[in-house]
Amino acid sequence: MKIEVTEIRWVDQHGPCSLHELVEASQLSADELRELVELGVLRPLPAAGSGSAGVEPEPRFAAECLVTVRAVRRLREDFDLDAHGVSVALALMERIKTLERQLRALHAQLPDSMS
Amino acid sequence: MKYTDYYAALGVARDAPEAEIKKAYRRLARQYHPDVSKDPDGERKFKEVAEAWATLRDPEKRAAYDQLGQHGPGEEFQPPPDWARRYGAGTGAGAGAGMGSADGGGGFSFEDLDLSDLFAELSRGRAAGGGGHRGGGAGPGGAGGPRPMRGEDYEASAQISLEDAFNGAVVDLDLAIPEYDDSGRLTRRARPFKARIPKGATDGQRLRLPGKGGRGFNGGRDGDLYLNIALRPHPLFRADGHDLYLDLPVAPWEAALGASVEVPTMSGAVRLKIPSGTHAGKQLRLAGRGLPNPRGGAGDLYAIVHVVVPTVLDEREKELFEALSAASKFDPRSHFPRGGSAS
Repeated sequence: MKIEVTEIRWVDQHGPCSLHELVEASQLSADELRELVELGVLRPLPAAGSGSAGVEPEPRFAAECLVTVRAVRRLREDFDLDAHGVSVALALMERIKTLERQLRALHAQLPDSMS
Repeated sequence: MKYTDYYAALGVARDAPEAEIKKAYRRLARQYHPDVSKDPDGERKFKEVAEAWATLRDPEKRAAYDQLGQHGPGEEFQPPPDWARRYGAGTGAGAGAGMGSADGGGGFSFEDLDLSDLFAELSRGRAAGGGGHRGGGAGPGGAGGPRPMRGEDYEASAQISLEDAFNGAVVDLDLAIPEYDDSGRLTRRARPFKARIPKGATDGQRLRLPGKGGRGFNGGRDGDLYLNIALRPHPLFRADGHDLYLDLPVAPWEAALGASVEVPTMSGAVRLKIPSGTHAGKQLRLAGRGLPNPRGGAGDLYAIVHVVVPTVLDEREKELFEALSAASKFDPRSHFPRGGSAS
C-alpha cells in the first residue's frame, strides 16, 4: 500500500478566515455565526482598511476561530444548547483552560517528587 | 455487520419512553463528553453514547433499529431481507448506487460497515442532502442534485515524545473514516498515512492536516483532520509551553561556594555556572534551550536548584560538617520570632 507523508500545518498558519470558511468548517449557518459574534463568542479581526463608502467590509476571523466554531457545533448538538448556553459553556471552558495552563506551569516548576 | 446494543449503551430498557432515553443520554453526555470530561476513556465512551442517542432519539430510526432484533454485543448479524426497502436506507447514496440496492435488491453486503454508518446513511437518505447528525450530508448524490459538498472534518489525537516535539517527527496515523467509493457505496476504509509534525509542537496544541478528513463530492473539497498533540512525560524535563524545566540537584558546598556543573539539554550537555550562595528553589535560566518556537526563536530551559544532602556520611565528612557547624554563625531561621510563639 502506498504510504504518503502529509505535511501538517499549525492552525494559525491558515491565515484569517472568512465567515463562509467558518460556516464550512462548523456546518453552522451564517446566521448562527453572526449571533455568536453578537454574543462575543467570535470576535472579528479589526478591519484592515475602510471599504468603499457605506459598505461594511466582509468580517475576517483569526484561524483559531476554526477550533472555536467546531466546539460550538459539538456543544450545540451534543448538549442541545442554544447560542447563549453555548457562550456560557465556552466562557467556563476557557476559564478552566487558563487555570489548567497555570496549574501546568506551576507543576513544571515544582520538584519532580512533589508534582 | 457487528451488533451494538444501543439500549445497553444508554442503560435503558428496550421499551423505555423517549423522555427516559433523553435523560439517560444527557446524564452520560455530561459525564463523558470530551469537552467537559477528564475521563481518559471519555471520548470512546461518549462516542458509543452519542451513536446510541442519534438512533434512538428518532422514532423512525428507533423502529428500524428495533426491527434488527436483539443480538449479543459484537455478534455478527444480517438485517431482515426487506429492511432496507422499508426504512429507505440507500436513497441518500443516490441513483440506485447506494447500499440498499448495491447488489440488485437481493441481500446486503455489510462488510466494512458498522451500525452507525448504516444509520447515518439512513438519515442522509431522508434528509436528501440536508445534513444529518454530525457532519452528515456528505453523500455523493441525493435529491439536492450534484452541488459540491465539502468532506467532513475529523479530529484525532497523537502522543509524541519530547524529543519528537524538539526535532519534529513523522507519526503513523491509521484512521478508518467512512467514505463513499466510486460506485457510491459507503465503506469504512482504513487510510494509513504518515504525517510530519513540525518541530516545536507543544502539549495540547492543535494541528491541521488539510484535506485529510472525509472526501468531498461533486467538486467539493476534502475535509480536514485536526490533530490534538499530547506530550508523553519525559524522565528529566517538564514542559510548559515552549519552556522546559529540569530539577538540578546540587551538593550543599556547590550551592554555598558556587560551581560549574554539567547539565543535560535537549541538544546535548552544557556547562552551567552555579553562583555562590545559590539557595534551593532558585531557577537558573538557559536561554533558548527549550523547545523551538515556530514563530521564531526557542523557549528557555530552567534548571531548578535542589540542595541535596548526603544521607550517609563517612567519618571525615562528619568531622568537617561538625567543624562547619561550630564555626558558622549562619542562622537559617533568623526571621522566626524568638521564644517560639508566633503571636
